[in-house]
Amino acid sequence: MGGVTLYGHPQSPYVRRALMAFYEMGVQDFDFKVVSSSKGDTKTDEYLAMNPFAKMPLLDDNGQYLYESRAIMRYIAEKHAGESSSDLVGKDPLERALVNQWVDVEGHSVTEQVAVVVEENFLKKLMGTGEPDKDRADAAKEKLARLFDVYEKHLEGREYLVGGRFTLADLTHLPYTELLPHAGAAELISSRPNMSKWWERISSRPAWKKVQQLEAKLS
Amino acid sequence: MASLKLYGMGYSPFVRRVLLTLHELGIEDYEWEQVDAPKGEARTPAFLAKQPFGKVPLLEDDGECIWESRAIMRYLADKYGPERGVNLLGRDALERGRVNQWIETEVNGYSPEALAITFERVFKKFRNMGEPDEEKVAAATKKFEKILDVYEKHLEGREYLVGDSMTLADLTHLPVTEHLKVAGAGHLFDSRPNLKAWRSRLFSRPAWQKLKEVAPLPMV
Repeated sequence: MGGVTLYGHPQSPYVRRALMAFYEMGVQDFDFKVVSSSKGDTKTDEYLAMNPFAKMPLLDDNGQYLYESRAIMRYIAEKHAGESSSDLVGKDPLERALVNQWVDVEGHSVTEQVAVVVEENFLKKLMGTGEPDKDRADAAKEKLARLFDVYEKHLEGREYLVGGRFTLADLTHLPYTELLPHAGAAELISSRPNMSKWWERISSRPAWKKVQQLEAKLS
Repeated sequence: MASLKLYGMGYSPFVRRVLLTLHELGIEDYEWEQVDAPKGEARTPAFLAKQPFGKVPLLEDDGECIWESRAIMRYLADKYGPERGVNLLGRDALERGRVNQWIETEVNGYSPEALAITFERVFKKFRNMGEPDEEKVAAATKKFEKILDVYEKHLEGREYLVGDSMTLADLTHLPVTEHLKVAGAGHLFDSRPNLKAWRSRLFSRPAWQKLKEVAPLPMV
C-alpha cells in the first residue's frame, strides 16, 4: 500500500493530537481514514495486524506502522522538519529535553485529571453510563488547579512553554485542554491570565482550526 | 565533563530509570542527592525552585534543570550518546519512531498495571500503608496479562523491542519489571518464553548490575 494514511476518529483527543502535527508541518499528502472503536473497527484482524493494542491513532507510512499519538507527532515533526520553518522538536539537546519534559507533564499529570473531570461532568451524562461523581470531579479539579498554578508561574514572561515559539510541548496540550469547557471547568484556565493568553494563542493557530473543521466536515 | 546531579530516592523506579541510563552511557561522575519525595523532601522551597511540580527524579546539568524520568533519559542519550558511541534512541527516523512508540506503550499500558500491582504488594508494606488489596492486584494482573501477550508476540524472533540492539524502549521497562519480581508477579514472565529471555538478557547487562550495587532495593 503506497502513501501515508492516518487511522482514527476525529473526535478522539489522541487522533486530534496526531492530526495537529500533520497540519502544523503543512503535510498535505496523506489520507485520513475514519475508524470507530465503538463500531469494532480497531478490533478487526486487519487492524490488529497493524496495531496489536487495538488503539487509535495509527499511522501507516508506506506499509510501516506506528502507533501512540505522542510517538506519531514526534515522527511527523521530525520527518518533515526540513520542509518547514517550524521546529516543533527543539534545536539542541537541552531544548529537546525541555520539550519532552512538558510533553510528559501533560501526558502523566494533566491528561489524567482532565479525563476524570470530563468523564464525571460531561461523558457520563452524554453516554448515559452512570451518575456523575461530584466528589471525584472536584478532587480532580483541585489537582488540576495545583498543576495549573505551576503553569501560570512558568508562563510569566513567556508566550510558549519552551523556546519562545510553538513546539510539541504546546501542541500536545491542545486536545485535552480543549475539553475543559465541556466539563464546566473553563475557569481553571480563564482565571489564570498567563494561561488564558497562552491558550488563546495556541488554540487560534490555523492548523488547530483545521483539526476542528475536519470533524465538522466529517460529522 | 559537565556537572551532572541527580535528585531522588534510590528505590523509586522513576529514579532507577535515570540511574540505569547513566550507567548504560558509561557516565560515572555524577552527583546523586537522595531526596525522598514521600517524606516531603521534594516540596521544600529549595527543591520547588528547581522542580516546581515537586517530583523526582530531577537532573541538573550545569545548572539546567530537567525533570520527568523519560525526558531525562532521552536528554542523556541525546547529549552524551554520540560522544560515547552509544545509540539508545534508534538509527533512523522509523526506528526512532518505534522507540518512542514503545516508550509510550510503557507509559500508557505496561507501567500503570505493573505499578498498580507493585503498589499493593511492595510499596504499601514498605511505607506501612496497610495490607495489599488483592482484588485490585487481580484486576490489574488481568489487564497486565493481556498487554504482556502483545509483547510476547512482538518479541518472537527479536532480542530487543526495536531493531537489533538495546534502546531506551527496552531500558524504560526495566525498573518497573524489577519491582514486579519483588511483588511476586515474576511468574507472569516465566510462562512467556520471549519475555522471559528478554528480561534475562537485559538484567544480565553490566549497567543493571551496577544499578543494583549503587542503589540496592531496601524492600527486597
